[in-house]
Amino acid sequence: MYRKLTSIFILCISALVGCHHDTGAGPVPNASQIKASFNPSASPGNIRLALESAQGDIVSLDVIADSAPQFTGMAFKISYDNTIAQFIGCDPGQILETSATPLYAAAIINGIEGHIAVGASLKRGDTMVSGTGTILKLRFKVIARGNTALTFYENVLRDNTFSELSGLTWSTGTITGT
Amino acid sequence: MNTFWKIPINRLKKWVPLLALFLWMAPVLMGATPINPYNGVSISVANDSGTRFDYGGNDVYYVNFKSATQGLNAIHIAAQSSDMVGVDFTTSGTSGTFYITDSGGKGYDDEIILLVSINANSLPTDFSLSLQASGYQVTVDSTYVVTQSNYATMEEQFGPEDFIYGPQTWKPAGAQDYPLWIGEDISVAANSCLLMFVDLYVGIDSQTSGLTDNGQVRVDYQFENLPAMAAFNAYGYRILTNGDIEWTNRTSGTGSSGWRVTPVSNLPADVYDDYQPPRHSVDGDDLIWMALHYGTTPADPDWDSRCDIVANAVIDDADVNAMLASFGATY
Repeated sequence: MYRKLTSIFILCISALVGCHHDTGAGPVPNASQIKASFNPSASPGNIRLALESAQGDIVSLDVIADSAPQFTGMAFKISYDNTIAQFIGCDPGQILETSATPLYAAAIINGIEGHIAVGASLKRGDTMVSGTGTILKLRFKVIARGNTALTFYENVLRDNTFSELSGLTWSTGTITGT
Repeated sequence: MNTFWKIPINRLKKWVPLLALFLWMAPVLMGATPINPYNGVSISVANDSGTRFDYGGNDVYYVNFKSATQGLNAIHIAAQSSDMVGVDFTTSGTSGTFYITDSGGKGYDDEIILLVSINANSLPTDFSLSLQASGYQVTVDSTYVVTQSNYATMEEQFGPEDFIYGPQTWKPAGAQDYPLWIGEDISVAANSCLLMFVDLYVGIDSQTSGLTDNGQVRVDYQFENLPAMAAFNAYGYRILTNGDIEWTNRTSGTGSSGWRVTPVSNLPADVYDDYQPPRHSVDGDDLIWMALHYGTTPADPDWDSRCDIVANAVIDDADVNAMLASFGATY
């Protein structure tokens, strides 16, 4: 190990992005000139992404349960092109707020832009929810012109026995910077 | 005579911006870089003494697989020196022993080069890996028959600065995008690793009977402050094949083998990991699992001690906060 005189600069990258918090993404040159938008998939699923708002280079997306059966929690990961968009935070939705203190979490996986892990859940003993409503909101900052598809993976809706609810469809969409 | 102290402070001031620029650029200049391309490429080793063989006179080994499918059958990573098939082994122990075995028709390797990858984009300054390797330094004739075989050992400690390759999700091979470990999805950026090659200074003699460890290479390792999953791979080198690396352990498909170290103790927030293969990440399912155990104590029939991260005999907000602190991490 003493052969090399150089040393690797340790990059301290925060992995955590809890709901109600921002990642603290730094300023991006000419970011104010970029206009962000979101186009949802043509075939909406039982769990779908929809545009809540687009202000300048920021888009806020609702993660919506649409005619969903009774469930307790949701978990998924999303991949995206980190040269187009950066994840900057999440906010609670409404459908889980029937519980006094539902849990929400979203974070950039290993602190590397391009993949996020997301979870939301009622607690033990809470009555499951069903139907249509926003589970949580995801906010992205568009940093370049172009498109990036948002892709779900390891996505699951679970009941209060931790069983996976089958037969559900998930749909996403595309973030665009112009 | 030391003249430094005669330089007026005002003259030194003009160098401050330049020094600041250098310090700002240092991480870029000194950081790791991905290997390019995936085959037909020279790789440097981290050993203080450089490469044992220096065929091209430039202190590197040349990776030169003959095709996308060749060079994947002979080399194995195994728990026993007699195992000529290899294992897919994962352990949470940060020290241990494995063997690199060769079942190929030639029955020897002049040299084994170890690839160590760690699933991280940076390593803590107090990280270290101590490696001890033992095996045989062989001499062969032009018909690949071993004419002399000497037992040898190597011991060296490595640090974060030795991981000069990456971040990347694949290892050099005949095929592009060849995984670093069995079951890896190389398209997932979160699987990116820093890489280091270590010349073990020994090879394999499978031709001669009665040798220590059956003539195979034994590797003893000990990590300190390992921040994330580490995967070991092995490469075989022979002088008679124009002095290049043409063999590695298979990590995709039948006959695969590999050795991984997952420092579970460093990541207690992965409270639900019953997937096959294990997911090794703190994600939404861990959050749901903890939520469904919220408020339980050891007296409850559905108590799960994994959720009691802070070890206060109840699943409460302290455990939730401890999980949130690691949410999104993988290992």
